[in-house]
Amino acid sequence: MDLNDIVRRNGEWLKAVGSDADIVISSRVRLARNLADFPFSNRAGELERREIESSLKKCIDSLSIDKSLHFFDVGRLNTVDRLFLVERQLISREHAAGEGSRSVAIAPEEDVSLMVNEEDHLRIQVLRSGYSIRECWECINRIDDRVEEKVPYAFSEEFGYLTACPTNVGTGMRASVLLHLPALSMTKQIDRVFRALQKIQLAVRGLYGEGTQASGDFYQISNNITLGKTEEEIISNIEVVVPQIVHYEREARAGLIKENRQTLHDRVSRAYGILRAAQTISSEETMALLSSVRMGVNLQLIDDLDIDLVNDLFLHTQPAHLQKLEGRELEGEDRNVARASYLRRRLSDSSKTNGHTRPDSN
Amino acid sequence: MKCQHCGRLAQTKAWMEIVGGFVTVDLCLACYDRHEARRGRRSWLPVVICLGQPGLPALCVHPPIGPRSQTEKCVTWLPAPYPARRGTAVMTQSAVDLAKLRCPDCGATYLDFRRTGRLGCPYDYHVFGSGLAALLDRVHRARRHVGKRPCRPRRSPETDRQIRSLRRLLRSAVDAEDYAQAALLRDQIRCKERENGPQ
Repeated sequence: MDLNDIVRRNGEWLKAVGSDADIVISSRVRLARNLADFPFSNRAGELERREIESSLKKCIDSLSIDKSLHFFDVGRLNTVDRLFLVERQLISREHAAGEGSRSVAIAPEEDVSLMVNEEDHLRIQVLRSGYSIRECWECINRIDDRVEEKVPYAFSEEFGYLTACPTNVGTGMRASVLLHLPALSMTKQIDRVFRALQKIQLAVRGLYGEGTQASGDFYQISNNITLGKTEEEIISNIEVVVPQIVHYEREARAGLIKENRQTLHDRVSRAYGILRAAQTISSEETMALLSSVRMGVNLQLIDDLDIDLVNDLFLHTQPAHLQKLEGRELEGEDRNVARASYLRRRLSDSSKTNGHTRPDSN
Repeated sequence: MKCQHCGRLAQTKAWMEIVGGFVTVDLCLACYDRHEARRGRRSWLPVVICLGQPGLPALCVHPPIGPRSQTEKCVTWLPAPYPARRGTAVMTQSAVDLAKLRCPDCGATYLDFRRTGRLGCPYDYHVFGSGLAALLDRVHRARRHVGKRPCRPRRSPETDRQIRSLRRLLRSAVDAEDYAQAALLRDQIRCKERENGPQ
């Protein structure tokens, strides 16, 4: 598995397949685990980190799961490759920016990754496109069982799986669903939804998890609490909430179409127009405009654009992806110029193939 | 009334957590916003450690809001009148004892944990148990795990600690090329692992 080979295909989380994939982008479950025989990563010396890495690598290599996993030494990857893995949601920003021995094992389909020597010794992650949080849990539970057969986890009867940060102790589980909610954002109903979620101990985070801002109207809904609830209860809680949010988003989209069709169509078309014509464009503006275009395609306000291409562009216009696609390092304004050029090229190719924007009948 | 953080005109009050309780502080709106933003990120921080005598300055350890490397820069001294005005900021004996706790396994102190938000090793949960219980109550609204359990037989926290300690000695022996001692330590580790369940 070569990182340069996967750059042109979309990551598992943006494949947009599965139920409600127009709104529910992806589902993810991660488990935080530590080995009983070592101090947590923040107190481990380099020698201990290497021992942890070696022990977990041996364990992961011999896992009897139906996936072949490829190891990457994160410490040895260059900055662009590390950021590339962050953008594909295969490692965390903390793992990319960390120090000392650390690695990641990734399945070729990019639906499973195991980070070694992150904040905890082992962070297992399973990612699926669309709304499939339960499948993620079932898969990660099997992997966790296999790992636990080979290495002793730090576990206490009272506190559960012991983690470096007490916010993760207990199940060590973070279950999250990535949602695209442009209509709720446009109609300013999003804050009300978030307040309701906070009351039932669910957190709302940005595209790349904790500490990130919502970008392109993507929001991650995840459990806040890991202690005092079973994994099943955490999953069920999310399963109850997500269909409701999807319903609100659909209602908001229907309301916009019914009451403000012209305004909505204008916004979507302008966004599309800018993306096709801009000579320089930032990552942030690209995300915001692609978000409008994505909604436009899903509401059939744009009919000459394939949703797969829009999903591709979300990822391919990110800084590291862009640099890898262009085959050179790009800084600041040069990157914005390259991004605009890339967008013009991809969107113009698509228009030639598919036809034109649907004229508004109203 | 002056803001107790920057000295400008205070416009509001905020709760601040200290070791062993809470105090109110007068803040201007800018400092209040910063305070609330921090509270949102790590609800149990910041920590204010008062030196125990009215009139003395209080050491305020802010939460790590930036990258972890910047954590050290977050430590500031609050103005001297702070604890004098707020008598409740004086620590109780149990809070003093808690602040002094040090893990015999990894060497982390309870204050290290409060400063960084990270524990040093699994044994910290055992050593800092009394301080952690209230924190877990606030963060998780629970103190006890009810989810999945490992299938393999569990070792006691004390045995885990002994194995970690023996592993440290083993590393030192290998470093010093004292292979006879290393072999002895390796056998002791295996023995400990065997007596507490299969590995």
